[in-house]
Amino acid sequence: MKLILKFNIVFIAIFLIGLGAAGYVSNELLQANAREEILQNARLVMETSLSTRAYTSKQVRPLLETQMKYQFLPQSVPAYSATEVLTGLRAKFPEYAYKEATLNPTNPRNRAVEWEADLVNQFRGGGDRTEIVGDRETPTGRSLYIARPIKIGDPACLTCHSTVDAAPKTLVDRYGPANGFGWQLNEVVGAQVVSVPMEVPIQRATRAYRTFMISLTIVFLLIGLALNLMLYAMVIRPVTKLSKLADQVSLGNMEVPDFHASTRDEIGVLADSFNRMKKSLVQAMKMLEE
Amino acid sequence: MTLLESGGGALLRGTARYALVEGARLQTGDIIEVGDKGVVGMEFADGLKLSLGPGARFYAGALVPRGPKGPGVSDLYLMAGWSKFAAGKSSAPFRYTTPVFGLGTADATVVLQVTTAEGAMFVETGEVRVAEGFAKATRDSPTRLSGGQFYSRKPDQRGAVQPRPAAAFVAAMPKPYMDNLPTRVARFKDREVQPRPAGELGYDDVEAWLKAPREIRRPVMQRFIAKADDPAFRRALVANLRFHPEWDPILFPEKYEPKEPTPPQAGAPKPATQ
Repeated sequence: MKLILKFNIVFIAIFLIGLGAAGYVSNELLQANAREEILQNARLVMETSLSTRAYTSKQVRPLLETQMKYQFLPQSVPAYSATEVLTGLRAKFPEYAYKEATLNPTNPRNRAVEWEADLVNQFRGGGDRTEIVGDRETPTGRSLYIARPIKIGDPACLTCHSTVDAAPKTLVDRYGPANGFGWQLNEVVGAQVVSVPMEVPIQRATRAYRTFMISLTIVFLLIGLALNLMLYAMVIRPVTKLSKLADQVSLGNMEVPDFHASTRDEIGVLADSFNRMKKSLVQAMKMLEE
Repeated sequence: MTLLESGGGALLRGTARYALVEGARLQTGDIIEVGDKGVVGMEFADGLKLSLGPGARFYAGALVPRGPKGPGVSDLYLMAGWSKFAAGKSSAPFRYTTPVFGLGTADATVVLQVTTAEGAMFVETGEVRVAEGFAKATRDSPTRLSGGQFYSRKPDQRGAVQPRPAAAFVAAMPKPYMDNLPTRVARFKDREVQPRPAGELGYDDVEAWLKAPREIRRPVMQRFIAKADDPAFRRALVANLRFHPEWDPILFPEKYEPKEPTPPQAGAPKPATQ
């Protein structure tokens, strides 16, 4: 088997192993980064909703206390504010979603659907789970969700959610007496659920991975080509030429010219050694003839 | 007690009309009439804030501040229109009387409306006592309203208490009354502004007050006695005398002068002596 073939076999084997390993590691890294980016987006949306709730509770609601005696203003409810703000976000980013999914809500739009109810029940099931992260298929593509429990920690919440008689009359006038009552202190009544699209970051990661692998392959191929050319020019061609000269000498043709190597590397040393050996052989032959 | 004018109000003081100017002081006997789009606010030294809304006709019957002998009880009257007041724990008790009901309180926030057909009020916070008719509420008044309750009464009918304000009341209420009354008195704490005179009052200007319930028209009458010499004013007084009969002795004093005994005629028998 020719040297260059052996070399290329080893080179290709190493190339494939290296490419495979690099591909696996880079894919894992890119996918992890994409997922982390998605998770960060989701957490950003979640923190935005929490900030909106706090702002409404601390700054807006006190200003509306008097007006609330005349008409119920949902704008004073932290959950409503957070939902409205993020609904506005959806006008430009429809793949994003936020919901305060509740098992027994005052506002029917917050009623938990099946998968949301499962999340709420997981939180209610005990333990101190503070977050559930998962992903699911949606009509707009794969979506990652973060869910956090809505726990009644402030007795003030029960002003509107304990009994119909205790609730503000204007609230009951607006939403009726059947929904959103009977909540207890420290009860998990729902979950804040943020859904963010996975498609774009995943596609971006896949594109990056593909670009990286193609680039790596091209680089490997260029390296392979360069090494092949170098091997041929610097090793195989001089060795082949030297081999032909050695054949001539072995057949008794001592008139072959010396092998001249322009380099002082191992081929150059080999050439010098061959030339010395040829001279020694010629002298030995002459001494035998005498 | 400082007047804070927001537009569309007139002050009737003495026998003259004045344009309301922000920072002017309220006096006992002052009458304030608010235009259809005006709002007039008042802030008292004890913390009471009182606002007169569109169409309000207000009379400051007696302004009795707190004194060394204890908290005085002021008497205020709302004869028509909208009003809102906010009395806190530091406010002196006062009575606010309308043609349909009277209320008394020391610590409450109330919105009230008076029309010819009905009077209504919503107690946002606190507690008020209510007397029916044009009557001053007292501690013994049987009707007591607390925060969240709504009271309405038509003349000649019993008042009704409901757990929430009527939708029509809320719909007609001036929008600023849905919020807390603002406070601006600090701007005028150290300066007093005089209202701008805007001419003498004629009978037409004060007709409604001269025909008001006796409790109001009597002190108003005292202010305008000198006006009885004005021919136009006098003619109007005479034409409407049946609405304010107390003017009769002033317009026709001769009817009320004590009659001198008539001397006996010649030839008449002498009265028997004992």
